[in-house]
Formats: sequence, structure tokens, C-alpha cells
Amino acid sequence: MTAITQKIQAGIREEAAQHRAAEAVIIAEQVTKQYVRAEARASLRHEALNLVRRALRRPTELHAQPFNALQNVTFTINRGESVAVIGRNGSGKTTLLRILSGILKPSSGRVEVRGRSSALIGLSAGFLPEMTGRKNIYLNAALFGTPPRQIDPILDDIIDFAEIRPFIDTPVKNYSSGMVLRLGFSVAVHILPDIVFIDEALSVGDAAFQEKCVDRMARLKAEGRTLLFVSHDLSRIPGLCERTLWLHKGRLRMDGPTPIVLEEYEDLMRRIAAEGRGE
Amino acid sequence: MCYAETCARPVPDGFVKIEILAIGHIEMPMSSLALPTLTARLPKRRLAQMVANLLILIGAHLIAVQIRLRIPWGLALGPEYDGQPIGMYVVFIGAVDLAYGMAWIVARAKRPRRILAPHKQFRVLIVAIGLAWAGALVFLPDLSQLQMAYFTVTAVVLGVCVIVWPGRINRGATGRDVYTALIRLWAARPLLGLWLRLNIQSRYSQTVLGILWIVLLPLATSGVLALAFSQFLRVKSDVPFIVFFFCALLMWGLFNQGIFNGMGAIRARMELIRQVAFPREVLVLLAIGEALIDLFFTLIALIIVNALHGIWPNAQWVYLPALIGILLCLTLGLMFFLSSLSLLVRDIPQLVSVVMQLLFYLTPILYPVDAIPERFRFIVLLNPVGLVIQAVREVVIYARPPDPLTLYYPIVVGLTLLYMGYAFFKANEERFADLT
Repeated sequence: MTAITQKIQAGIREEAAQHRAAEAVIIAEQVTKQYVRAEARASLRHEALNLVRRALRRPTELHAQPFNALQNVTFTINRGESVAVIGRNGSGKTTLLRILSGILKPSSGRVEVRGRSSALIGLSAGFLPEMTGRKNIYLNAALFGTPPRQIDPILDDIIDFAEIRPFIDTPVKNYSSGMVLRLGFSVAVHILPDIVFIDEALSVGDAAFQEKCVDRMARLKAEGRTLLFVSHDLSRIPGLCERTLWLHKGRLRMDGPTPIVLEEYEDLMRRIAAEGRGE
Repeated sequence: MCYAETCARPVPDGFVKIEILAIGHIEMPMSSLALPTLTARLPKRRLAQMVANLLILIGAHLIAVQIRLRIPWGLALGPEYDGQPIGMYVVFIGAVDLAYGMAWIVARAKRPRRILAPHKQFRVLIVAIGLAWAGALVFLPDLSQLQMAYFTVTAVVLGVCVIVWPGRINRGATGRDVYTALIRLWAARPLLGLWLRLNIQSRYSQTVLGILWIVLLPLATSGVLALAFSQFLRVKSDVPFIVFFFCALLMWGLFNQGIFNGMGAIRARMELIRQVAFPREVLVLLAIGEALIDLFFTLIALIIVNALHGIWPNAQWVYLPALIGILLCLTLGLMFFLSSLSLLVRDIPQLVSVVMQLLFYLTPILYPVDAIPERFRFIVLLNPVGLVIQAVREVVIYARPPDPLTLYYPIVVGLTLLYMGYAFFKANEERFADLT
């Protein structure tokens, strides 16, 4: 009897998992990213030195000690959720985003993103400095996978959102860094697919522009897109995300409703600051 | 929000009571429906596998023919001997079909799987080679057995290069599947076109003459060459030396520029690679695209220089695009290798610059093939770039159609290199962002 019971139980669990999986759009399972600490590239000099050391029975150089930027990170994000990722510097937030967007490959573990996604990470990397802002809009959009003919109807919106109408036919190398970032952000935000990864993008431009960005994000969320933010600006998070992931030294420390996670996080930050002051 | 909590408990009297708590609505995400499923593509892929095996056999056959009829030590029977009867192709098709039929019967007995794993495909290829040899013995008794031996060796080597090796490199990479990668690349063609145009524009954007340079530069270069070779350095040959030299230099230019730009293509855009996800091979194609555009404008200069010496474009020029295509395959294949290898092994650029110099002198660019001693002539016959360049020279200067028997080998090597290079590139693509 117990065998039948177990069978039925397993079947039901599988079915339930399928239902849940149909909803999940971002799945990370045991994601680990390992780096070596120092110069990893084998060179003749290194090899020769190591050979001598081994011959003399001395310990070999420790340049290949691994460092886990991410360690066994597991989570699932469902369609339409907007989730914040917080953590201290070097806790692996950006690495996680790069792995999810397919730029980096995890050392072990599995990542699955269902549907088209794009990452707002390096907003100024895709610009050709010699070319005008207008041409760069098309190029940047194409880098994100949007063909030029889809840009034509929304070109004016992009220019107006970036607030660079007077300089749109100026080469990008003459832009201020804020203008470049605004333009990059504007292009990205107008052509976003259903799943969006955002890295500190809200720190673009001045306070007024940031306000506009937050409005835009809220609109994207209302449209039912799946958003994943990485942010240091904790004050913005409660309004945008109902769920927060807390990465600490490459591990997922907490995953839950934003207010609870933020409270814990701020508590830790206060304690660390207090230690830093020597109290 | 949708979730199903289930719990099942055994109740004492042997029944199972199942409670399903809170089943919400079930909704399939649109994207999972839109993605083409693997099963839908299976029959097509199986056909592709069969065609690949057939192409390997044909390629090996063509190389065997070329070895036997064009390389001095390949001649076992008289030169008039017909090495490539049409019946051979019928034998090949029969052999591949029979081998696949056998594989299908064997597989069906155990487990119905329709596409074959690489090592199994290779096994089927080996069977097909054996069947082809047997078929040739029975149906084409006139065919040289030496040629069939060349064919067998070449086919096995090609099989290892095209089936076994790409299946083995970096199994974990998601981009390993060349078929899927090509579909993604096809979707990225607006990016390629736009980027190429902007790159060309930005190359000359700061200059006074602007885009005019793209025509002026090759003209000026050819003017310098013409001056040097017609006035100062008078080399005896049946055609003016500048004419003899320039058309070979043109093709070498494509190869050279492709190799060096391709090698740096990934390294020059590291910042972008680390921040934006796009098909990386676009960067390599960008490099070859620029080289092709330069080739096109240099071709105009070539026509002008040749016309000054009384040689006009002739009807044989229709072969020129095909010849450039062969050279393109060779170059692009090597570019895919070098662009990813130069990140993995940083010594590659130095090595390549030496090898390219050597190759320049081993290729008949500055001298005709007749100038090489008979003993060393096989070096030229083994160099696919040299063979293509010679064919271009025949077409452009002497208005003779290219000898197909010298081109089989570059075609097969070019396509093989292209496939291997692309597979290697895709297998290593995901490591690029870590290799700064």
C-alpha cells in the first residue's frame, strides 16, 4: 500500500511542480561562479617556477586558489514579479545578473530564463563615439535585438525621454557622461522585452531624471513585465518590488517580502557600521 | 499568483486520501508556446545529418581526385584516366542511405531515437565509407583502387574534423548546437548590417575627404605599386609585372586583413562583450565585412590599372565571385579559430604574424608557380590560398577558366574549416567575458 501511496504522492508533486514551472520564468538552481584569485593564465615562467618548487618539495604557488563569487544560489521568479537584489559590495549581485542575462556562464548549476530578456548593465558600452546620437540609438537598439524599422516609430519618444533633443545630431564623443547614460537608458527602456534585468540603472542622471526613471519602472511593472533590480538605493525598493533577494558573500542569505528582508539587511548594516566605528 | 499545495496521506484502512489545496488558475506562458520545440525540428535534423554524411563522402572523393590527378606523386595510372565517373555519386547516395537504413534498424530494435549522437553518426559514416568502396568495386571496376584509398583516408579525416571533434569540444556549452546558433545569427543580421555601415562611416569621419578615402586609398596604393614596378623595378614576365602582382596581392589582402582584424575582433570589444549579450560572431563577421568592402574598392583600382596595360575585364570574370567565396570560407574559418584562440592563448598574435609572413612567401604572389623547383612544387599545391590565388590570376590576366581539379581541395578545406571554426567559436563563446 505504501508503494502506491508514494507513487500517487510523487505524481501529484510532479503535477504541482509542473503548474508552478509553467508560471516560473527565471529559474536558478545551485548557481555557482568560481574565479581564481590571482593571475590564472599559465605562463612559462610560472610553470617553470612551480616545477622547481615541486622538485625541491616546497609548496607550489597559491595563485590558483578559487574564490566563489556565487555559491549555490537557488531561486525562482514567476511571471510578472518584480524582485530586488541587495547586498554589500562584492556580494555577487552583478555577477548574478550577468549570468542570468547569458553574458557569463555559471561554473556549475543551471540557469533558465524563459522568453526574451535583456540586461541594462553597461548602458554606454555599445556606443560608437564618432557617430551621432541618432545613429547610435539605432545601433544600441540593434545590440539589444531590435531591428531599425521597429525604432523609427518610437525614435522621438526615445530622444525626448533622454532630454537630448538639441544634441541628437552631435557625435556621442562630445556628450557629457550623463547624456550618454541617459541616452543609453532611454533606448533600453523603450525596447524592453518581457524580462528585464536592471543593474543600478536608477542612478542615471539627476534627481528629476531619476524620478522619471522610477515612474517608467512602475509603468513597466504595471504592464506585467518581470523585473529584477540590483540596487544600492534602498529607499526606491519598497515602492517597486514586493520581493527581495539578499546576497551575502556569494550566498543567498534571505529571500522574502521586501520589508522583512530590508529590515534585516539594515540591521546588519548598522551593526557593521558600529563595528567599524569601534564600539 | 498560482500555486498548488498537495498532500496525500495513507489512511489506515488501505485507501489513500488525497487533498489538493488551493489550486489556482493554470496559465501557460506565451513564450514557452512561441519557442520552437525540439521535436518539431527532429526529422529535418535527421535529414541534415544524412546530407552531412553524403557531403563528407563527396568532399573526400573530390580531394582524392585532386590528389591523384594534380599532385605529382598521386599519379598512379595514366593522366588521361577519368577519375570521377558520374556513377560514383550514385554509389555515394546508395551507401549513405544503406548505412542510415542499417543504423535505423539497429536503433529501432533497441530504442527509437531519431537523431544520432556524434559518435554514432561517425560510426554510420565509417559503414558508409565501406559500402561506398564495395559499391565502387562492384559497379565501377575501372576506378583506381589507389584513388579509393585516398578517398577512404580523406573521408575518415573529414569525419573526425566535422563530426567527432565538434561533438567533443566543451560539451556543456549551450551554443554548441550550430543549427540553433545559425538561427540566432540570422535574427541578428540587422545588427550586422547597421554596425558595418556605421563602422565604415566612422573610420573616415574625422578626415577632410571623408568617405572618398575608401576609393582613393586603394587607387593611391596601386599608383605607388605601378610606379615602383613599371619605372624602377623592371621584372621580366609575359605580362607587365604590376598586372601579374596586383591581382594576387588583392586576394592576399583579403586573407591578410581578415586574419589580423579577425584575431583582434573580440579583444578590441571586450568592454561590450562583458556588458551586453549579443551573438559574438557578429564581431568576426564585421571584420570580414570590412575586408570585403575594401576588396571591392581595390577591385576597381585593379580594373583601372589593368586597363592601362591593355587588359580588360573578360567573360571569365563570372568565376570571380565563386573564387572569392572559396577564399572567404578559408579566411572566415581561420578567423573564428584565431579570434577565440587569441583570448585563450595570448601568444597566438605573435605566432600568427610570423606564420603569415612565411605564408606570404610560400604563396605564389611575387613569383609564378613555374619559378619553383619541381621538387618543392607540391608545397604550392597543398596551400589552398595559393591555389585560389592562382585561379584568380588565370581568370583576371589570361582569361582562362579556372581548372576545377585544382579547386576541389580549397573548396572542401574551406567549408570544413568554416564549420570547425564556427563550432569552436560557439563552444568557447560563453568564456569570452571571463577572459579579459
